[in-house]
Amino acid sequence: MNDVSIAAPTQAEEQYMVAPARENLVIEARKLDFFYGKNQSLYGVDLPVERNKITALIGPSGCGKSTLLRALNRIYDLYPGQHAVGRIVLDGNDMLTDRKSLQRLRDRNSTGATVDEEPQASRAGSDLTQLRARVGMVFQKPTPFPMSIYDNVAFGVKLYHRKSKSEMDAIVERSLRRAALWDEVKDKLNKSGLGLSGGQQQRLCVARGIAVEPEVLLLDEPASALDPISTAKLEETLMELKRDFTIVIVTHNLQQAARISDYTGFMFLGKMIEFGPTEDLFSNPRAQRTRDYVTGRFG
Amino acid sequence: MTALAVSETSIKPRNAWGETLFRAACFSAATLLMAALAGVVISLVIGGWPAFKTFGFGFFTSSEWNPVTEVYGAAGPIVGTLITAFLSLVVALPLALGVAVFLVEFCPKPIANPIGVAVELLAGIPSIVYGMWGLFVFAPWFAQHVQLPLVMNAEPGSWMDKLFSGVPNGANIFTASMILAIMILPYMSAVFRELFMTVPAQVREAAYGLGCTPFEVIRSIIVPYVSKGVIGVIMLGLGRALGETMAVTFIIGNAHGFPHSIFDSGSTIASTIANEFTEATGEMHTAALVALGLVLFLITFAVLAVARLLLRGQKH
Repeated sequence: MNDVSIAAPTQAEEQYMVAPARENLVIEARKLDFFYGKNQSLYGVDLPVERNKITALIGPSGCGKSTLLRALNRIYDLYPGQHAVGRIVLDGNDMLTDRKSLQRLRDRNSTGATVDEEPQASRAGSDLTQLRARVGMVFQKPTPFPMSIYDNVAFGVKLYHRKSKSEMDAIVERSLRRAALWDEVKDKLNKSGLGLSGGQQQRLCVARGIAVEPEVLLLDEPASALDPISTAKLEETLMELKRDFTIVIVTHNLQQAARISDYTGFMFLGKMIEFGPTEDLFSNPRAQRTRDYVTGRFG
Repeated sequence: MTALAVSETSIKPRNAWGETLFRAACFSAATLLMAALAGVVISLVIGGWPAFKTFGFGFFTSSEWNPVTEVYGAAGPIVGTLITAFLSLVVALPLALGVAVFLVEFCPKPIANPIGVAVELLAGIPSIVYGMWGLFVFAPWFAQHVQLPLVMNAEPGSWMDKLFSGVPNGANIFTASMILAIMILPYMSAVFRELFMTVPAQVREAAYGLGCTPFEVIRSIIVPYVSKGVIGVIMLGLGRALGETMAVTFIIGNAHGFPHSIFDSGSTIASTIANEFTEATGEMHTAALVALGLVLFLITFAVLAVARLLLRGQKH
């Protein structure tokens, strides 16, 4: 079954890309190389992400899906030695290299339309921190903060905006409703977020992520620690959320990718082998490797 | 089918005797500990009883400690113990948190580990070394450059005069507290560092992912995440400061009676016992010292009990 030999992709390896129309992109990786110290783990990866769609990243373990995701909000900056080369473009601004672009993004963020009224005084290192606020992330394991459910959701909003109690209440309720968690927690908003079940915690993290109205929501295998019912609920939530947000999801579950995503990228050993509309990629894969993977011949 | 069936003969004979012996050994180890503890408490109570009987509650409230007239009041050492422990904790806690946060969050990886190990080694320096350093180096320096100017510049009768009065020789409550702080600092930093490293990387990343600055992550996420442990570390530090003997004995000045300012000489329970036990000839003197020991035991016990109580309320 697993006897297909897996060799490193060569220069000549076939790569296919069917990208969405350029004007619909919200965030995009272009020719992205990524390094953990001296080890290169991404090789010239392109990832175009269309607005208000779900883009799934699939591929065997260690192929660089999560690395690519972590590059998109520059969370890797926390770790010295990790760096990216190439371009990551958010709304036309290169946020990887160009400080001026970061500045522009930040300025736009603080005068932007969504939930802003009164941006708080400028914050230290704010270029990067504000960028991260525009590209939210949900992790494999639920990561509720050690505080109440209410405060978990309000936390990110409080960092950037002064809100009255009633405004904050409204934001918290709205975010929890959108994350399909409101009915389950509305009577215990002051209880600790750590007391929820795994699936609820994960949706709490989604609510926390969307409370700050990011443009892009990155999810790194958000359902891998959840039971099937919680997974179904989370998927439903994501389908709802794409009306307002753009979602990039890394998943090991091919069915999940097929069910919920509009675009799928198949990665292998640090390269984007094939990218295109989900239906095409699953029903009519062009690259041999993609075909092998989605039909279960390896991976 | 037969392969799964267990035949009588294939069962490995087990030594029931060994099992019983093992259990008995564990049980007696635990019992021994409890017995030793009970023995300590009982002998402290019996040994200190004459002092409690003679001086009654006055043992805790009077600050007259006079071996010649055989009058013993322990208020001086008790207050000295509490003040030095508290002061040292106030100084050491923010510094220890700072060191740990720096090592975990800001320090470049290649040097973070060596520094972390160095901090742990510092925690292992024998207290007598700190005591000597305190007496020969720190106390004279402090007297010359801090205490003297403060005393000279204080107007007689002002709050400064009251707070800082005392013989400017550097051997006083305050310097003892500083030495204590230096002693518990590496210890607390090392434990805080371990504690902070238990916060899952993803929780930190999630906080940064929302757009937090490092300070916000530490204040709102990391410290609350390990709040249980933080209280535990504080109590451990306090316990160590309360019981520390040698370094304090060197530098606190060893004056009985109530300290009148933070630059006044004083004593702690531990330093008093260490200083006088060999010279305690009278029965009442010995009894008073043993009674002091019991008081120290109870204070430390109370600190641990309060820590437990606080931690119980902390469960998520």
